[in-house]
Amino acid sequence: MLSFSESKYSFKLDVHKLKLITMENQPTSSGQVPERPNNYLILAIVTTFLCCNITGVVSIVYAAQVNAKWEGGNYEGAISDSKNAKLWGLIGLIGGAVLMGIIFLFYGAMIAAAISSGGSGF
Amino acid sequence: MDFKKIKSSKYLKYGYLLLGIPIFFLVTYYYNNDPEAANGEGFFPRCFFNVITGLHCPGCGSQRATHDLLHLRIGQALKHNIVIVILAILIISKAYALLSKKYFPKYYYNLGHKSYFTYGIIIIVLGYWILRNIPYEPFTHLAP
Repeated sequence: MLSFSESKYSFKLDVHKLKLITMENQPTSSGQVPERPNNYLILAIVTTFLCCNITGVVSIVYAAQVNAKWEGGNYEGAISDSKNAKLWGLIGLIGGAVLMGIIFLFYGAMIAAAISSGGSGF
Repeated sequence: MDFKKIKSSKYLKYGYLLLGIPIFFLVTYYYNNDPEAANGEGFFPRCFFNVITGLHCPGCGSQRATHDLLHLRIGQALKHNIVIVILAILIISKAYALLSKKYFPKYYYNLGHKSYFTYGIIIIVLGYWILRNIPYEPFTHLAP
């Protein structure tokens, strides 16, 4: 592992992988570093806080890996994990909303049935 | 259908504002109805994880916490669910990051982009999940 740093940049040459890794957030002049992906942490926490804790926790784990991989220089892994975090967070939110709607429909039907049959209600 | 063209429409960018309508109704609903005192009145769905297993998840108590928070009873809200603290920290740090990037880039700092912070959140949430299910004295306060 060979590395050197200038005032603004710090480069690291991984000899075994034959790959030049640029550290730190580079200015736009370097074409190697893609745009930093959103890690969707707020979406993950909101999904956990609302109904669907399990998909929310999966989303949090992916969101944390986005940061770790980005800091380690694994940009492709960070981008794919960002997509996964978004996917699981949205599955939780939208699936939870749809399930709530279905339950609400059943609930409303039960109330209507209770009223029409002259039940005591609540 | 050319989806790319639709995606780049300059009015569709503000389509997120339409989310404000259901959020407004939800906020008024949770302001007016107390899930804790409601016995059969109103519609408060229970967590599926809680229905199936009988255990508390890190999101349990969030409806009661939302009601208390809308009435500015922060202490009671924290008693019901502690994840709102994480949510508040995240939203504040995100707002600071956006503002500082735009207006004073010298002091730009994004807490959400630090890996120790996100790993800390995982540990807190999973630990909270486990601890609030322990039915003994110091941990029973964590249950909703």
